[in-house]
Amino acid sequence: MTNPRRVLITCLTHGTALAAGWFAWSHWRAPAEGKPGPLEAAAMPGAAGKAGELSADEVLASFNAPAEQNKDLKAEVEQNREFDRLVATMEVPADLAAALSKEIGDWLLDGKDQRKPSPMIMALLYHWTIRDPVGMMKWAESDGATQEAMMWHSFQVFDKVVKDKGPGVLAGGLGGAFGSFAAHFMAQGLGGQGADAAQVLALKDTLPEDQWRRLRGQFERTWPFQQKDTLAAVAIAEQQPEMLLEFAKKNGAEGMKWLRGLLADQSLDAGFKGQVTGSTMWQDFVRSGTTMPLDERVKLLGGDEQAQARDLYGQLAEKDLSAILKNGRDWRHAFRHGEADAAEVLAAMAKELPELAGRAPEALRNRLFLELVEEDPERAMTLLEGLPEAEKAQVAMQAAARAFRNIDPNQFMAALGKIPADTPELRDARLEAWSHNTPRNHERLGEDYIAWVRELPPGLDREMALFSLAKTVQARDRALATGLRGELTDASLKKRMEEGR
Amino acid sequence: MKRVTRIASHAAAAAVGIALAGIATRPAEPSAAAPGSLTSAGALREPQPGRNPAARKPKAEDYRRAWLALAARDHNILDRRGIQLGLLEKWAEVDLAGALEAALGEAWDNDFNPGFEVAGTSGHTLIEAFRKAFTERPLEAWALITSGRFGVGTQILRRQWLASVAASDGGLVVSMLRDLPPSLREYAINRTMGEAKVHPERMHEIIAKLLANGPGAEPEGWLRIAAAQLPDGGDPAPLREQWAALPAGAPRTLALMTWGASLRRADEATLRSEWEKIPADHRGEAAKAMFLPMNASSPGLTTAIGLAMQAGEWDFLAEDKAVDQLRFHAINADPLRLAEWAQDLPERPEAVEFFHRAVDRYIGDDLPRAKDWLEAMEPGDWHRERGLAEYSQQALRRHQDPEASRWALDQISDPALKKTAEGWRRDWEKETGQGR
Repeated sequence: MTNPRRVLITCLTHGTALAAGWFAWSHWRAPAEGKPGPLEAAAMPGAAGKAGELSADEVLASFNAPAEQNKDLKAEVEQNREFDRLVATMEVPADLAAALSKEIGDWLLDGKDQRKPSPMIMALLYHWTIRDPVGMMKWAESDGATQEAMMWHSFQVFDKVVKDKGPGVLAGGLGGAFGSFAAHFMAQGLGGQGADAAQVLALKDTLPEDQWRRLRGQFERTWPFQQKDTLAAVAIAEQQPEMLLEFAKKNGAEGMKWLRGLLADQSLDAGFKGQVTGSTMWQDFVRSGTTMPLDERVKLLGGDEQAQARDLYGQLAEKDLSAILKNGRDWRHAFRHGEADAAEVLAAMAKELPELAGRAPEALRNRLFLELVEEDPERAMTLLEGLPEAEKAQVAMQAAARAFRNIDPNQFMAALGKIPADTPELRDARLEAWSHNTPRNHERLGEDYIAWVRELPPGLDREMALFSLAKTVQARDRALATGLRGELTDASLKKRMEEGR
Repeated sequence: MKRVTRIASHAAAAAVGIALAGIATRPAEPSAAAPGSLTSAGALREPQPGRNPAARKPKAEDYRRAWLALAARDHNILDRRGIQLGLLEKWAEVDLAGALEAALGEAWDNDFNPGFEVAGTSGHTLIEAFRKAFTERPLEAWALITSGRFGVGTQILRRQWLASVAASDGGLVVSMLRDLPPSLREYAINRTMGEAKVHPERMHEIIAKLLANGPGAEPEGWLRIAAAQLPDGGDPAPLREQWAALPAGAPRTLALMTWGASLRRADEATLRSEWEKIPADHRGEAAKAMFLPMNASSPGLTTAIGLAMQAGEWDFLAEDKAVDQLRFHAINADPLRLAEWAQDLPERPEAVEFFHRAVDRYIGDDLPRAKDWLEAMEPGDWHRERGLAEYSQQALRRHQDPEASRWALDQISDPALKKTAEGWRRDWEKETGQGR
């Protein structure tokens, strides 16, 4: 079973896994194929030959520890087995709260890094949940220790409760701070047992409004795809187009196909259909539908006219490229470290997206530029070679205005250094780029960002940085804003500041 | 983050987290598809004779070479990140400065999901790798971090240092508050108290350290932040009597906040009953003490906000994230109850945002019902005017219904508000390509 706690634990367990891998490594093994490939050899000059020096292969090999992951899984299986055993055999204490408090007290003696779920706590929670879910959920909020224990144990408990006793048991536990956990497993149980729409909708009358919403919100997340007809019936009855869209999205290409079929059904209420197809989510859904033919996506998005189609190609390039960069080879990392040049990455993308590369090569190139300019501004500019200077400046500035969020601001400065500001349009776009990035940089980098701006070399970018920063801090720190404004020398920006624009 | 907020946010994130867990755990999984997968290096083979493991402990240069070599491998983002996290942790054992420089030399964003921060990180997906080094060698790490060599990225490292050391040595963190940039002090206190939440005695130790800072507005402010996280429940009466009897100063602030924290999950009736017993000249500070420990799941949140308004604490409400709390509170609250609460809000610029956040769901859930509700109000009433503006927003953004939005916009009589609401509509048209 997986849950958010596991995500956190994944981080913690990385350390353990690494330690074990480390141990494995320390009993050294030879590289699998004897010597590295040409790219690897280039990346570690002299690595293989020097006595006493470890090769990159050897070091990197220690950071994969499948054996340790298996050990984690094994431990979880054993812990669940013990949980099952205790549930079946334990004598249930009369005062479950007292028994739990004692167990939790002992469990907390382990430091955070050593903590593991306790089968006894799970078993006690299980027995309380099946007897009195309302009381248990109320107790669960009583103090920090019980809340911590709930975070660590409730998922296994609710999962087993639903499997053993059915989802209805959790209906009393949907309120309070842990109600969302219960709602998740109750919804999952309803989906798993193939409840029909009438059964699901009947629950609405038995629950307070906010708890019904909480439960309903879990259907699209937890139900298997086989439950699609029930989900559609509930979404239509509840007038919840987002529910359909989220469910279809979660089910990828298959979900998309199903939703398109549903929308083509003449019997579907036109008003509801309009709510789905008019929603931003639907538009985004089609834009991201990388498995659909390009022409169909453009048509569904209303791009019949040439000018609109051009805009749409840009949007589709963004979605398609992101999907490839996210799931395929990490080309941005390779590019950043000089292991691939921009033309090579473009060729790889064109190979993956032949339709788009054939129909709208500029859209593909421009989007890739936006992706790569954050990694290495100077080398990314080679993508724009051959364009007329004005167009090159425009494409680069448009990208810079959209990119660089959460990126080292020095990279942003390096990119701006490659882009002229010799027309009013380019100047406006440059200021927009500063305005776009400054609030987040200030929030994230705090006082260091303020110092960085003040230390920028005199010139247009320092002026724009000061202007944007003064506007960002105006509401929270007037004194700082006044100080920053006082450093401005650019007449037009000073005027603009005075006019409050 | 406050204790119960953490719980509430975990609860809210739970379902999404479950859905994403498969993705999120991927860094730990070897890529099956990647042809150059590092797992092929044979982690389980027997040692070669003649090689002495003890003599082969990697040096900083070994890690650096491995780091550079990684870029030539055919990994996806998550696999690469998983390996980097492990490598940095070990590298930091022998060369903390080199490892930190390498980490900051990578992209600072979440390149797997740009725009979203990875939960549990300090805003940089690789910096979590330094938790162990920062925990085990806090002073050495701090000296390095604040040496100036990391430039504009220093704050990212400070934040990770605080997150790490707050868990292992909260006392050290609160003793260093004056060494922190002002923007990180509240975070440091909250993080430290949050880590101690399962051990109330540790919370009191931290508070004792804060009290030792002596008098002054700044140390009292720190105390207020920390004490807001003290446990709730129990009889508030003796706590109230305690602070009411003390002269101004840190002990009184602590007693006041302990009383406030005890009311974190109190209902409306309890809050009002306490309120009645407080003399008029103490009500401002009492209202703030009631509100500060609360979070989105506090049942009395709207009551506390209302009492702060009643006490005239408008500056406090404008500055103190109360609107954000209300926004999260509204996710699970009864929309009708919130809309009724909103109808009693006084006409003040500071109340406007509270009004919108309190009525948006009630309006958006059922436009015809909302229309009746708004039409029943007096023409020109500011609640009606603002409600119409919100109606237009809900019609557009939630229901994609420009006609309903037009109806509402045409009912607004205040020209300035009408102009603003028309601007919101234009933004929607621009975003969706409608109205061309």
